[in-house]
Amino acid sequence: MTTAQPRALVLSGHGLNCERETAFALTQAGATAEIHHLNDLAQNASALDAAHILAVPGGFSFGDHLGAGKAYASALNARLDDGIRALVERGGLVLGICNGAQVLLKTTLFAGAGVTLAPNAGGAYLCQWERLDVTARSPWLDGLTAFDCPIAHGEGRFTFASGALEALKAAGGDALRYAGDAAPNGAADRLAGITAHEGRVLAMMPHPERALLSHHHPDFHRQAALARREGRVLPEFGPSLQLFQNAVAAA
Amino acid sequence: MSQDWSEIVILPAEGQSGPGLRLTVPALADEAAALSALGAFVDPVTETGAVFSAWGMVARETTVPARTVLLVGPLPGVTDPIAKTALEVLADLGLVPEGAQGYAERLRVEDSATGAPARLAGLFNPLIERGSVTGTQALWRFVGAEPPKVRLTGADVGLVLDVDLPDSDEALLAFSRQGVPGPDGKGRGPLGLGLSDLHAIRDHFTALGRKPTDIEIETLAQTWSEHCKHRLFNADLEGAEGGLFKTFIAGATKKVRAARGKDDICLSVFSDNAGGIVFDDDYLVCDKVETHNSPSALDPYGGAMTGVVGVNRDCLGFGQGAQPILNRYGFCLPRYDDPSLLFRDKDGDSPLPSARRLIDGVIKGIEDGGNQSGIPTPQGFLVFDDRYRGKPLVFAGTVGLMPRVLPDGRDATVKGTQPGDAIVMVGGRVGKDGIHGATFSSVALDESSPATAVQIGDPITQKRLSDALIFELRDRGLIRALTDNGAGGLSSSIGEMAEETGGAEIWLDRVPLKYPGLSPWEIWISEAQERMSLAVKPENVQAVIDHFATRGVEATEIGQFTDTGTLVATFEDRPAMALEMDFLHEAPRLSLPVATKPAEPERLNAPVLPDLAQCLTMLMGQPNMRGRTPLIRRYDHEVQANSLLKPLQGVNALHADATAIRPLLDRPGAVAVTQSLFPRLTERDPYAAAVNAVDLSLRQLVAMGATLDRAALLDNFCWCSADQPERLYQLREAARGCHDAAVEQLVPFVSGKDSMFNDFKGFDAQGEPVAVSALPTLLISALAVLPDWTRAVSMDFKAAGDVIFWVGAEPEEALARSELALALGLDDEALVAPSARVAADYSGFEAATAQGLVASAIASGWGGAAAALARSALAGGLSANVRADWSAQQWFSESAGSLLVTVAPPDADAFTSLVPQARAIGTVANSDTMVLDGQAVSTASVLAAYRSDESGEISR
Repeated sequence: MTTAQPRALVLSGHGLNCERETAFALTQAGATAEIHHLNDLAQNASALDAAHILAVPGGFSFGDHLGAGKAYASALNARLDDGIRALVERGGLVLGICNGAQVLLKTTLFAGAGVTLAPNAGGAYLCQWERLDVTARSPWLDGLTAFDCPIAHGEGRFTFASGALEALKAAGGDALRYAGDAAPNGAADRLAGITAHEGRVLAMMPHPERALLSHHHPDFHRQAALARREGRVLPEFGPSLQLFQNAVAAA
Repeated sequence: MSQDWSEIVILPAEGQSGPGLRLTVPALADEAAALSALGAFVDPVTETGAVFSAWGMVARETTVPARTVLLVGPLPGVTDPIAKTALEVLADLGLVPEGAQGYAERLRVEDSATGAPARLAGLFNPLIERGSVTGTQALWRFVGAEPPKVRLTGADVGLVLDVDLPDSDEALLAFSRQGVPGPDGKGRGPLGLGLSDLHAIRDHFTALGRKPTDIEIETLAQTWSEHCKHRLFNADLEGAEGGLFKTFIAGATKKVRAARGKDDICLSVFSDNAGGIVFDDDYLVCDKVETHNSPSALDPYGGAMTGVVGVNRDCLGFGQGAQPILNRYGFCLPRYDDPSLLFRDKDGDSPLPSARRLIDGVIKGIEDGGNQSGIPTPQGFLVFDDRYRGKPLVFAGTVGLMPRVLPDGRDATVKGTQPGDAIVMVGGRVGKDGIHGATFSSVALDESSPATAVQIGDPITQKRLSDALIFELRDRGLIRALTDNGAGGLSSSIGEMAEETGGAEIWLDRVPLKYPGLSPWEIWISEAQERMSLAVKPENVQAVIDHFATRGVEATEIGQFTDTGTLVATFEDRPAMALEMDFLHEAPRLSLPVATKPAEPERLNAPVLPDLAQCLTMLMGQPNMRGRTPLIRRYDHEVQANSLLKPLQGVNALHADATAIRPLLDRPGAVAVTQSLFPRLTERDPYAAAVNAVDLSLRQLVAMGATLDRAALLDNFCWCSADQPERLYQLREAARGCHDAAVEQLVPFVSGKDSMFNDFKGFDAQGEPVAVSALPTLLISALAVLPDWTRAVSMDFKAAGDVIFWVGAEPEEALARSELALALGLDDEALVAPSARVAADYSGFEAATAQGLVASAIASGWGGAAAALARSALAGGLSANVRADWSAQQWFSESAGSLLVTVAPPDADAFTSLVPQARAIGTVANSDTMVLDGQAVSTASVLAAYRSDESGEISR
């Protein structure tokens, strides 16, 4: 762990739209978070050299026009591949949330993994809360066993090439699963998030930055009313803060 | 020539069902280029793909299994966002030149050819797209077709025409209907000008001693349109001599602001694209609600989507630019199973979309417009009625957040355009899309309605523009003023901005076009989307243009603001327009007769009702009452991480009336929003419908913990045949109701928009004439700022044993125009309707929520007390024992002024001391039956009725 505040770099631009709340979550966890437009970073990739954490936030980059994540990933692969790989190789952490996960799976960080995110089994976009189980180790997920997050996506169904799921599990990359019997989007093996590079690269469909504060949770108002009667006050933050704090601690 | 193009085909891999694409792009040079393109475009797990060129093919597989393919692409000239993205990617990889053009077709692979044409027909809208049935094998080879191109060869390209205004009134009206004749003598589309307007224009140019140009006529038609100038709402009427807007809407706000004095929350009302009120010492929030009814009637998906992105631009164009932080929507629609087929023409060549297609389309349009823009959509409503079959009503609203003062000290609500400032147009290019949108929505929908009035949205282009404006440029002080290019295009935005300096000069040949060949008048009034106009100090122009360029957004200097008193346009240095600003903005005021109040017949008011259990179960399964969970979950209501009160509440996730956000997570303030309408009551008693809609929207705010001293109102009047005396009577009475209710509660109106001709005139499947007019519909939207988010209260019951209070007036014996009367098919004319309740007092209840004494609260609205009780109980997964001693009529009456509240027993005394009018009517129970005045109702059957639609219909 470094003594100075770890530097987190959050990407933006071309329809990504969760950069501000993702940066807020990283800041609350103790990082300094900077938002960089893809075009600026492509012009000056050296900003990556000093970063400990890279986050590709959620959104609708390029409108999903070619399929979610493809166009943004193409730009990352063409312009920033060296810098991102160097960050991972020196022990840095990468997080892709929702559209960011769709982007990451199409970058070289997941090259050859044989995994993609296909349209939801139900065909429709889904915005709802889900319970997540932590099912493999990752520096992002230390100390977390289960927590609640909203999903909000139309293409979130983890889909694998033949043998690729088994390989992922063997490598311990099957990090997050939807609790219960089935994934809301039909994802293979109920997967909600997977990792690469010893867990340092986490691609997850649910949005931990939207579950940061207690009042984000759909049961908050009931819990708050009950707590009041017992003279308790609910904590300010929800368990998702831990995910960002883990990254700060590990960076 | 075919060797100029390559085709990139992406198909789902064997065993996959996803969508595919065919892209036609400038020829890729060689195999390496083709492989590079496939690497970017084809998902190796779920897709296969190939590049076909005159020089050969590069494919993941050499052959593909024979399957049927449904192929859909935009018509020439229609916005093609997929092609735009594909070409950006290829240019970024150095495979095609920057700015190259191409064409994208969506495709779906089908297992069977049977019924393919019918399925294809369900996939595209012939007004904007073309479709074909083909096969995988036909696509898996080099076709060599050129992308479709717009070829505009009209004789008037580049010409400015002088217009001869006819002499006779009859000929003048025909001129207005058919439009300015082009060189071929054919009219260019409706102008929507009335006789007094036409006389004024003719007299003006006679006095000037010259003929008007075509652009001048089009500009006057746009600027004086009902859509832009709200002629009817400003007309001189008996009982509202200054006009309805001035007398009742602005008039109410003036009184409220005076009465509030130093506690006035208004920062910008009626003068800008939205209305703004105080959020805290440093920030303000603004709000605007628009309608997009006419475009949605023709193209439900595109119409609703451009409704959302359009009202987002109202927010971006408010003051110095506000960040959109919440979207809201509202649909007034025919029922899903309405089988009627309607046509705009007698021969059946121009059908309106079916009810199912209409509903699916508008729902999807709001989804894509909001989700792709990264703006949460927690708030909305659905109302079904047969009378929305001809013209649906599609409401889209946006709340924005802006600092009150910019870093350079400027008041952010003030525009500040100066003479000499450059006019910079930024965003999408101009095409033929959306021409005559403003004049088109100001008249009834019929055969002459121009299909070019349909506009296509591209939310990603707008998102780039929005990010650059709000997060990067605004606070740098480079932009002096900005506004949205909405209805009327440049003619409206520049015309409005030029009022501040007293003139402008526009160089129409500098405006970037999607394709060559537009006439000057078309450039001037096109409503092509995703554009805004900026006023920029000359020395900052290059910096602004350069910054937008780094974000992939085109910005162009197209003129300058002046103080000459004249709006001037040139085309290639030739004069095209020279309109005096005073004349342009002084549309003649209309003076219209108003009918008198219709006689009120005797009403027996003795309905025969089934028992409460049957009534409640039936009621909660009605289209307007039941759940819409799958719809709500298609709209991202969590983005921006600002969610505080969600659209689905309680352990059972029932839809709520009020939602709230916390826009800045490091500040305590919150913003709550509600919406109310009583369109069926409006036909019976427009005054009571308006008063009670204002009351209900405010009561919903009070229920969730807001206080009325920090609340504001917005009005949307969507009338029909509004120039008829009977409809004008209803309109005036509704406006008077708005005034009285707002003044009584001291809550200002801050913004509004009206749409006066929601009428359809056409034909049925047999070619017989049909007229369908929408219900006269007043939507009241409200917002409130909570100083502290912890005051927010959800609607669900929290715990068994909590005391249930009825707060406010007792329900009336008045079921007319209620949901229960509709559900049971009661003879409405024999029933009494709810009265106008203007003077409810919520101050005690506000104090109770401020002290945290309220466990749950809901306003009694549609479905009355019974529905309110059922919704709160079911949301909480609980039930209730209630002894209110009400008649069945009272249980279901939609009369105004009351709340249903639960309080923890230890807080009950403190609550009643603050709310003396509260009446304890029962307790929350944890059982499988609710008991209402001794009658047992199964909670499971009511919940099942509520969820009866959620398997299909709205969810698809």
